[in-house]
Amino acid sequence: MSDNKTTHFGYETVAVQEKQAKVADVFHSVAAKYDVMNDLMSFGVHRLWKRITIDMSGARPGDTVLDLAGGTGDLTKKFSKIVGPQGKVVLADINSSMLNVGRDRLTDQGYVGNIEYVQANAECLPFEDNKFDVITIAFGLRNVTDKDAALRSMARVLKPGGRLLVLEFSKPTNPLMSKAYDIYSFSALPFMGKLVTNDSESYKYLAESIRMHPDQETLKGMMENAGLVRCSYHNMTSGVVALHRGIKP
Amino acid sequence: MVNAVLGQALCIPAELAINNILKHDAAAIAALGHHQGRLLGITIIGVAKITVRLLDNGIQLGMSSDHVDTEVTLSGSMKDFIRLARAEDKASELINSNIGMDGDTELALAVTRIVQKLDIDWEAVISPVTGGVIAHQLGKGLRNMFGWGRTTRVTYRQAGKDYLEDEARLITPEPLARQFSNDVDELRLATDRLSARIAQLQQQATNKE
Repeated sequence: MSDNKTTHFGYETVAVQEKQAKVADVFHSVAAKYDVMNDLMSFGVHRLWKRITIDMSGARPGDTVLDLAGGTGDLTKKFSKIVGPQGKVVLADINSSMLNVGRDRLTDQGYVGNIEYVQANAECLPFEDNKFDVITIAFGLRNVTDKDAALRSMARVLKPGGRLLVLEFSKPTNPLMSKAYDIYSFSALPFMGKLVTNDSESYKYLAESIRMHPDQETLKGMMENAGLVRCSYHNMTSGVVALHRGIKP
Repeated sequence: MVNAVLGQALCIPAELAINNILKHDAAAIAALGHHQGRLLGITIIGVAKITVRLLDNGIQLGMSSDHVDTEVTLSGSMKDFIRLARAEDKASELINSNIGMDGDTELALAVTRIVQKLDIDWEAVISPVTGGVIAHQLGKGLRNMFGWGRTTRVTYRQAGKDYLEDEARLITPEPLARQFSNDVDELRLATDRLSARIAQLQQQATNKE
């Protein structure tokens, strides 16, 4: 990658090297109140989206699962129960603050024994090839600087037949919903962020980064380019969120 | 997929209620723990597709879509499932009913056996709300009610059977039917032996000529 290459950070254009640090700042800032804010912003619906993701992951007892950008460990907690003592869940996040919050929370709740914590960059995952039966990345891909590299990296560490699930904000399919969603995310979200975390900028970034994220069809194409097959997506809540699924051949 | 999200939302209260009851049957929880993480699908034709994830502390319900890979799926009409729920021997009813099983049938039978053996400690379920003394009385009442229902069902079934077999003589009593069936089997075997003997004698006669 050349030094003068740029990418987007929300609506801002920044140098590629800068984005990672800026995203890190956002998550260091919101880590402690991340779950509260998720519940507030989505009215709790993010829990339903995650339940559907778990159901569609096809995870089985004994599987090895990577919960990438797993943050505070919502999905890891569920996967830990499913894979049982014979399986393993790796909770990976590039951000140490988020990882610490997740590790402390899961350990306090008694989720130990089959969970590993790894600070990792999705673009160059520190795992051997063909390691995981399931990889999930929930609300994390849009923060990655080079999404194509990240998808290639995920495809590399998936076992043949393994499934990648990308849960991410997407493009609403209903024009009315789209309008309401715009008003909500650009007015209400930063206001709530200011109230709860005293940081409206991070939530302004959230709204902007969602708009800059590839739409459903584009992301599906990117997954196919990364070498995954049988790629499909399922819109949830009128396309506010989409769950993409691909399989490593 | 909006329906899937709504479906998940509807599943949560049902899941909480079931798990709240299940936690008062330690044997059922232990039995579920043996199948921790496994996923069972229930398709009530024309009504809903439900997934049941077995966990070591209860179950997790979900509204299934075609993209959910279950280990076994039971498919049938609402009537079939109600009949299964009311059956005395649920495993036998599951095998003999119109409910289709696709996948690991052993898992379906294991879950059926867990449901069959459910023995809820009703006092523990209601005592947080009513207090111990009232809970004991209510629990006793519930058990008596279920016991009375079960006894009445068994009595009526036996009385109906007796009437049809002994008084109206509309159907053959089971021991007689079994005896008759055995006699027919023996007669068929004897006939087979006799045919074989005749064939052997004919063969010998042909050889002598």
